[in-house]
Amino acid sequence: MKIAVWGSELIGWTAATAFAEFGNQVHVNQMPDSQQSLSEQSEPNSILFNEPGLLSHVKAQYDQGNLTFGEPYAALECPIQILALHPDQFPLAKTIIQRVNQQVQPQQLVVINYSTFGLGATDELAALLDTDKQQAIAYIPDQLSEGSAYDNFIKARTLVIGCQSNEANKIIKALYKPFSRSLEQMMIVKRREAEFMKFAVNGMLALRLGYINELANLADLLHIDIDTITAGMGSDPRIGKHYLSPGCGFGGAHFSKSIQNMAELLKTNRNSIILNTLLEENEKQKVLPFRKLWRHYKADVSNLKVAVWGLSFKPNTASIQNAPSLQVVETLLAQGCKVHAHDPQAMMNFAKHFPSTGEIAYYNQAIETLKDADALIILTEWNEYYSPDYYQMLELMKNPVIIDGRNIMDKELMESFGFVYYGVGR
Amino acid sequence: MNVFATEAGTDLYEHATIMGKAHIASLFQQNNQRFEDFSYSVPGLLLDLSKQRITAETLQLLCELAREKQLKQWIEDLYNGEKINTSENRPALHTALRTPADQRLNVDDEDILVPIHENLSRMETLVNCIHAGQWLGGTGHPIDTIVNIGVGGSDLGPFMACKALGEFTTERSRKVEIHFVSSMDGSHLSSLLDRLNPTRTLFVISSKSFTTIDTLANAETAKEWLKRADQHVDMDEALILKRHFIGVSATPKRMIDWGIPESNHLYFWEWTGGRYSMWSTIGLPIALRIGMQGFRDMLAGAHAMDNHFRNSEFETNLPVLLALTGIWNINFLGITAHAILPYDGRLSHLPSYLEQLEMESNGKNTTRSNEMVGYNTCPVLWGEIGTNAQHAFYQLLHQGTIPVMCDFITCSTRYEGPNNIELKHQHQLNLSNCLAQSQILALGDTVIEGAENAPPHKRYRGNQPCSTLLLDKLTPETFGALIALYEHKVFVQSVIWNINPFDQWGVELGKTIATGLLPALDGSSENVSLDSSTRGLIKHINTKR
Repeated sequence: MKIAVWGSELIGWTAATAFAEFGNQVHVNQMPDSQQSLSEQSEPNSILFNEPGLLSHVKAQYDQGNLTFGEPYAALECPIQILALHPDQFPLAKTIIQRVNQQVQPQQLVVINYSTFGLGATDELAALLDTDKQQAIAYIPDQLSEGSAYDNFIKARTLVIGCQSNEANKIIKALYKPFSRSLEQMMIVKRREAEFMKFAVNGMLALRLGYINELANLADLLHIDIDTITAGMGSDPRIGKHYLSPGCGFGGAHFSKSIQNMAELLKTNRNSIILNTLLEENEKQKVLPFRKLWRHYKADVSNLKVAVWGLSFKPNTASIQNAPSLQVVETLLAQGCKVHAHDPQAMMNFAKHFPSTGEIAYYNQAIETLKDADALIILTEWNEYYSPDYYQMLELMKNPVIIDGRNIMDKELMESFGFVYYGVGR
Repeated sequence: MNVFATEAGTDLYEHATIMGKAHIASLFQQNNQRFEDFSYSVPGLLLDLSKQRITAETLQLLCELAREKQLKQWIEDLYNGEKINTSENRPALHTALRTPADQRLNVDDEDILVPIHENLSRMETLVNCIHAGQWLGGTGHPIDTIVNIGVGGSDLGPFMACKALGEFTTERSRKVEIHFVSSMDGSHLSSLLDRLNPTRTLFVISSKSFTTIDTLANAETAKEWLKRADQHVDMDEALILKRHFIGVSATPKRMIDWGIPESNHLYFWEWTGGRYSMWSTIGLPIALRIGMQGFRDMLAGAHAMDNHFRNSEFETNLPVLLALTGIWNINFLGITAHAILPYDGRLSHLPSYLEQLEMESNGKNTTRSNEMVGYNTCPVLWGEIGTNAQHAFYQLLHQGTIPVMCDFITCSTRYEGPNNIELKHQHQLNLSNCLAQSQILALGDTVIEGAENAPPHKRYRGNQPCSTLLLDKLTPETFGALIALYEHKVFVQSVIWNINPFDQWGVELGKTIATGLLPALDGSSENVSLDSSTRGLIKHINTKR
């Protein structure tokens, strides 16, 4: 089939590649009148660049001629249109639908909307279609995690299709057929239900994270080890083990945005502030590692040298959107500290916000940040941070203080080495 | 009797024998151009005196009186930092607090604008730090709640201004809550502490002398509250004082003695009277509420009024005319009550601010040469939001037995923008009430036809003199100008009455006696020399506990 993909969100690139690999001809474009080439669309800091491995998949399909770029007129004529736009690009989505409408008639048209515009947005787009002419639109909530998007897509375990047109669903199911082997459940629901489901899932996950962080902070005050508590909680089958690790707040572009949407829905319709409170607490939680430093040094932190490990909002991505590192480093600098930062992938993105100056320096090796440091703050659980050379660390650091915002180190072990160790909730 | 023993005073007395019998309604009948004749303006603000019981001759004689009293020279002395607060041997330099940095003002061989602007910059740094969420409490949480502890001048001005200028918050300043605590008995504080988060609360202790018992008692309670709240973490007192207290005072040493480290000090000076101090670092809560730019705009508005007061002829000078019509009412028409009636909910705290400004400044019975005055000085002054007062004491204004002069204060425009239709309508209602009330108070029921046939209990005698102050709109600039207008009005009246408006010896004895009564109230000693009333009350109190 000929497929057009609009937008540069992660789901767009992932779906474009996966569909291209299975015989479809896919045109990727940003907007109807733009003719951006692949190189323009994959510049550093773009989503494509941040997602490990995805760029090479895209390039492979491009080289084989299955993926094309910057041909908006060809794209507008495709019978399958995919919207993978930023949540703020709803007006553009409308424009695209209208333009497509002018081109493809009387051909059958199926639009798949992956974009999270808000509840009822896909219905609004549907109103622009001509149902008499076999035109339909589906909302499919994307279930991708940054860092493993491609695998999530091709090995999806559930597929929710928000569309009640049988004709359209036949085409969508056929498109997804190659990725159905791991599928455990497929649900056909109304568009609004599918949109709501996306928000509901993210809200639930956020509530779990928020709750576990609250528990961890309380455990901190009561001198109880949160790891013991979460192990016990997780063994209860009603609770399960997922999303039970406390830490210094969640981030990411889509997760946070989706929770904001749900928070807004709850507040507007129900005057409920449960998710707003959660979001506010999460922002505070992001700065928790700094507060531990502040407390350790009794509010006297100016001119301290602080090493920061981990700038991305989670491991295996270069994305720093809503990452705790942004707030922690901002606070460190505002309070007069010198920052020595390391991240395996995100340093280039981070340096755009905080250019290298006398106050902040970036290092290619994590261990190099520790020379003369008064503290190490760990903000992202990258694999390479789990087991560093403790002897070398002790040698390099002026004051062996470790603030582990992700609980990746063993408290007792660290203390036996002679570190002053602070975790989250232990 | 000629109360001022001057030529103009004599003429005014004679003039008053005629005008005393006149009715404001008849003055309007005689002259249909009174508004054009008796309204005055500066950019952003209009003063209408046409509903005063005055004629052109009255104003001309009053201005003559001011000249005979050397008002021009007094104004120069005020601005130049002469020690016109003679009982305390110091100048009164609130005008300097709002003078731009590019000017100079030497007082005792020091350009005092330098320290003034240094302290404003220091305040700006602090305000920006708090607004950026970078003033951190002892636990590292950003401060988002400010509690200003102060009383009198360290409370009323900032409190009033924060209320008045609440619409001018910035995106960052909105995130910071501000509370005011003043009452000595702890009522304000105790109800507040129940709902504040100690890790995010910063106390601003404002006291010129840093000995004010009201303020220090509240500050002590706040400190103990922080210490108690911190049961899980060993935050010592030094850390609490360093991260949760800012001191604003003219007496740095006493701030240090109380425990506030120098890094958290903001200063003002002996020559700033408490009730004239909101332009100094005492205005910190205002700057926290509306941002430093808003605060500077307020200073600029006041400075524009300063220039107008200093440079305009008396005949067109708003503070001078407002003051002189007051003198006319008080000393020649025998009116000793003054109502402040803002028709704008944002100015709800203006009456209590002016109560202090006017009555603490001019509520005095001795002259500058320490003789008893032979005439009335400051009237009793009180007020309320006009539309609310209509349901309270307006009955007395309209049909009571005492004459009262009234200041109506409102603004022409409010609630701009397309989405405020209902609120705009409310403002129209408010304006129509303001205009109706001043009309009836001044003109009486002559404003309707056939009123003379009504029974006496339905008649409105009118003839209560009214001034109307009309701001184009309420902004930091016009608000600054309005307050400066009243400050200068008070000063002009003090010159006519030959009293020192910058001291307040009348509030001292009460403090001393109160301290002396504490042992008797503790039950630790009985003071047999007390009068029987006080002794009896103490005894009764002590039997109840």
